[in-house]
Amino acid sequence: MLRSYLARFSRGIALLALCVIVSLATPVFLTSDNLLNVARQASLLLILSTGMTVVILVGGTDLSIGSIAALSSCLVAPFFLRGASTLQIVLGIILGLGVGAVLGFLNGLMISKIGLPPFVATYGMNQIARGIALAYMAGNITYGFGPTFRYLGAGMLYGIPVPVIIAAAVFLLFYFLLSKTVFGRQVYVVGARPSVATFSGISVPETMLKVYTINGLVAAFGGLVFISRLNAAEAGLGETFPLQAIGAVAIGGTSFRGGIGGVTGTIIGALIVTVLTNAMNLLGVSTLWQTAVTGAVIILAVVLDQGLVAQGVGAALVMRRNRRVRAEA
Amino acid sequence: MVAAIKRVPGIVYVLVALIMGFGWFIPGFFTVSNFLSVIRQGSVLAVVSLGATLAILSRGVNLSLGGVMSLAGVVTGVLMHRGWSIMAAILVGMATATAAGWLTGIVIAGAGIAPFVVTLGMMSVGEGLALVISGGASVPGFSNAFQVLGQGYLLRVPIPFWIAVMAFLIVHFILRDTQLGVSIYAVGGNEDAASLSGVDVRRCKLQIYLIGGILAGVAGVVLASRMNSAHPSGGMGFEFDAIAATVVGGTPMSGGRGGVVGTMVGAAIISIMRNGLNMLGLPTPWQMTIIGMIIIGSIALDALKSNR
Amino acid sequence: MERAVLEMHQITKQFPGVLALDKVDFDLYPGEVHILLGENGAGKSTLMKTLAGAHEPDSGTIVVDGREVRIRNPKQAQALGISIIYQEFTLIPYLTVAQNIFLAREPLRWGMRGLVDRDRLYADSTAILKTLGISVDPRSVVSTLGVAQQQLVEVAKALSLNARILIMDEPTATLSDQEIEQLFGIIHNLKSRGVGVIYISHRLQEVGQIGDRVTVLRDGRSVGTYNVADVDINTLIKLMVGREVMEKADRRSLPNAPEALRVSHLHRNGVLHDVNLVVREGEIVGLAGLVGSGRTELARAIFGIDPFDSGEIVLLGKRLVATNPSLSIRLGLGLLPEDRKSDGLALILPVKDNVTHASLTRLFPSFILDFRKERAIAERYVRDLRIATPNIFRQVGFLSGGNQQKVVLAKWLATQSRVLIFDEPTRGIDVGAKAEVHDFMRQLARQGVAILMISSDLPEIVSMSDRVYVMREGTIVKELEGEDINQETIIGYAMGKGEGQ
Repeated sequence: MLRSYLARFSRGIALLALCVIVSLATPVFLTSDNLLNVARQASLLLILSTGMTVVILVGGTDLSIGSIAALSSCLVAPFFLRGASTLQIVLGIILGLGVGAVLGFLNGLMISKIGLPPFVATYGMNQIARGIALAYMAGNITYGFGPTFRYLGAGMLYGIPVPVIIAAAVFLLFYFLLSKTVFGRQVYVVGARPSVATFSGISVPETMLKVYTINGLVAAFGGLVFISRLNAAEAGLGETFPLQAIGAVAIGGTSFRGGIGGVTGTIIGALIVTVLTNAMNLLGVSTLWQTAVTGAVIILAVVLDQGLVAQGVGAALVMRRNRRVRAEA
Repeated sequence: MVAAIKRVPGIVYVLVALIMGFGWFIPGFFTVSNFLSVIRQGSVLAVVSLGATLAILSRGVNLSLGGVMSLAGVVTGVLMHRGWSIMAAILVGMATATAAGWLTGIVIAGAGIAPFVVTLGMMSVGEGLALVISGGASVPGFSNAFQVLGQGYLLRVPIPFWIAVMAFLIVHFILRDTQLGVSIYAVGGNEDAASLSGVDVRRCKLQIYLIGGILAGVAGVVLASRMNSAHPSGGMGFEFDAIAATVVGGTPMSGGRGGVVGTMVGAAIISIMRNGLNMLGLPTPWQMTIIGMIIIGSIALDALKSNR
Repeated sequence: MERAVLEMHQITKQFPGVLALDKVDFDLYPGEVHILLGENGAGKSTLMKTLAGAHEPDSGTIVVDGREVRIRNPKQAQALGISIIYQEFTLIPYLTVAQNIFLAREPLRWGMRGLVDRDRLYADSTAILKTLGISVDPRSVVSTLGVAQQQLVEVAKALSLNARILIMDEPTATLSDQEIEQLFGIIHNLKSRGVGVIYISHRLQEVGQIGDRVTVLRDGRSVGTYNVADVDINTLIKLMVGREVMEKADRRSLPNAPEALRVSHLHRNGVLHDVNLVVREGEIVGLAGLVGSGRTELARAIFGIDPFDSGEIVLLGKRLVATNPSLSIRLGLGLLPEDRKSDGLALILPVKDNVTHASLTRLFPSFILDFRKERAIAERYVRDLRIATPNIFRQVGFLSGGNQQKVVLAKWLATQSRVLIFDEPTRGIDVGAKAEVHDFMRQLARQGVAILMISSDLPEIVSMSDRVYVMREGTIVKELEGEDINQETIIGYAMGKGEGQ
């Protein structure tokens, strides 16, 4: 009993333990300034990893979100420069999201219609979109956005950073989408067992197309929040997005085999990744460690996850044996 | 093997057409110096591609090659800066890469996790450690003796080329003449059947990623020597070019058939393409985009073919 | 008389809920072909798996060359000279013939571990192929060979292990007549070399062509071993069928009921030829035939999983020349697939999700899930079908086979389909659950649902069907009604009795 509770809440406990250790190690961690900072960073990661959760749930992966974020936000950044009208800003946001959706849709096409492995298709998209972004920006930086646009990434509302509110909204939207809609059900079946989806009249390619399109849109949205916070857009932004998002999802307990997991775990995953990064900063560990740690954490998470799955199967077998024994008695 | 040889001629035409095309449009393309520089640059890719091919033949994939390359180069570079002898530095750099490959193999073979996730993680571990060890900046300026490895000539041919030829011969030998080679094809062709016939699938997978690590180590050291600088993201993107060289060279992502002969031609095609686009004066970002498209296009073509 | 190379005494094997082998005796002499006959599920494969080291018998003894042995794994079987050729080939498609024959046992160069002596590899392979009279180039890649040649490579691989007992599981299932000739030639060659062959077959005419003795299994029991010369096909059929089956009490003839499903001239290249059938409302129509006769392929084509090349389907009055599962479901057709673990249920998802998967858009037209409605539906079916699960949130993978099958049934009942295709509805589930599933099917028929039931279980076909179609080699060879529906007739048509004799 205890064990199953531990398994269910292991991620939450890990997060809690991490926070306790960090706050013991450095008093700075629990200051409101630092916590606000963590919240701001976690919110961007959470936005990106909610979309990634859906992709991984459907049995795929998306390595292109950083480039999609970069290309879409660079293309529309001029709309947000100081003095832009609200209409212009709204138009820019819609256009940016549109670019992301189109790129995501292309990912979906390559994967579902041509049959490319997801990591190949999205890796290629990563390179293509990054190349276009770099060519378009030609080494320049677009900066100096108006206050209205900056509100998105750097504003405060009732003492809460706006990005946190946005991330919460995105999370709720995806939570709703995954657990309360027909589409969510379809995502889980396609990820769990594509052939079962087919036999149930659910089109696997269509579902994948939708999922990657949505993820492209989410990536673009993450990019907009990011440049709003930074007050600048440059072509190289977001290179670490895919890995961090995949890391957050993996730690959050969504299985790379598809069909198991959800965005609730991803929140904890995103928080763990952010707190870890923050702790390393506070403790004076070089930021250079972040990439290596993220990679190690991904491997560790999938290995542990595998262990948990194996444990679950073992438990099931024991249960069945007990039932048989009972039936025979 | 036979299938691979049968498929090579098609690609060779592409290679020749590419060379002719660039030669027609680009003055200076058909010069000895350009030819040598293509060879020098292509050799590194050729070595990494061998590692990618091994993984793909077994129906896996190795995304960690680029990261491990960076790591090996940086370790070697930093050690030399600390006054280590060239040999010792190279040995430790290689050992690091080998350990990374071994670890990757252990996780893939032991825990049975999809290679792309594990190698994706290892890619960032390698790259990340390279960043940490180098302090985030490139490690420039090595002794002449070390630079010979990447820039020198033997019999008027760049040394990296000889290294690539050796690596190719060894891997080709492994695939053709050893039990490991046969079992790589067997695992890629039908893992269950291979296992039923007595092939030790786990050991085979472990060795594939172990050799991948070694090859990435060689490539990383040669790259550092050629550039006269070890950059923590120097190997970035090589894993993708290596997958492309493999697939263009006639080894499909679905594994089980193909071989390294084609991969060498594939690596040549990609290197010449980069060189040609470069000489055409295309800005780097556009090169990146175009090559990305060509690579995706060729892999897509392969996927479409095998779908039919 | 020569000593038997293999004797099996009183072999018994129990699986949860099924007595797979019940005190079976079997023996094999060097240089003979001993045919093993029986319906699907009679225990042939299980018996052979005890020899191959895949299952250990619960009781009984296996004697090889006069010595009692225990075979715990495939390696031990190999060491005893026992080789088995499975129906699905275990060859690696892109390796050469020689590499396949010696896979993982390659001759080593200079005796060095890991180094393959390719010259000897090919020389040895050539020698083996030559002694067997198999004309296949050891250097050709297996994927370029025809099915028959691949089969011969399998034989060569088995014999390179110095097999003295060779088990062949339906070796001719996919071969043409000429290729069968060739295979039989090889088998004669093996006999002359003193190899004992256990030959599992579905084709009755092969008994006389290749067999020396024949043993018939039925329901896990051996019902007799005969010299082939002393027995005729009709006797064998009777032996295989054996038990008296309760005839369907209320076999109905409903010629005037409206047609729910009509399939006309359905053709799929290489798989289905000119298939015609009708299922009327309220009717249970059995679709019998051997494994591989095209029944499942037909069901998949009708439902729209696979495309068909020509022909048409009339489903509840709608004429279709192409279809897909989503359209089929919308029009009122459901398919309960053969492999419930792979195609029927998402095992890692809860019962309630699985119950509603096929009817999501019908139940929730607004695309928003209504948990109360979903729960009500899932709980209703759990109650009505008596699905043994602690609650509807349980992962389906935790349920027993019978309960899983009931969840599949619930899933399709939830779609409120008017036409249902059941593909092997009771395979692998226990007797109690089987009876329940049958009851539900009858209830559905009474409510006017048209049912097409594919089954390899002949008693099931006989006791459930109002009408029966028999399929063989991709087409329907016979329609049976009323008195004609009995096991002997069905198995006769299914096995092509009267052909090729």
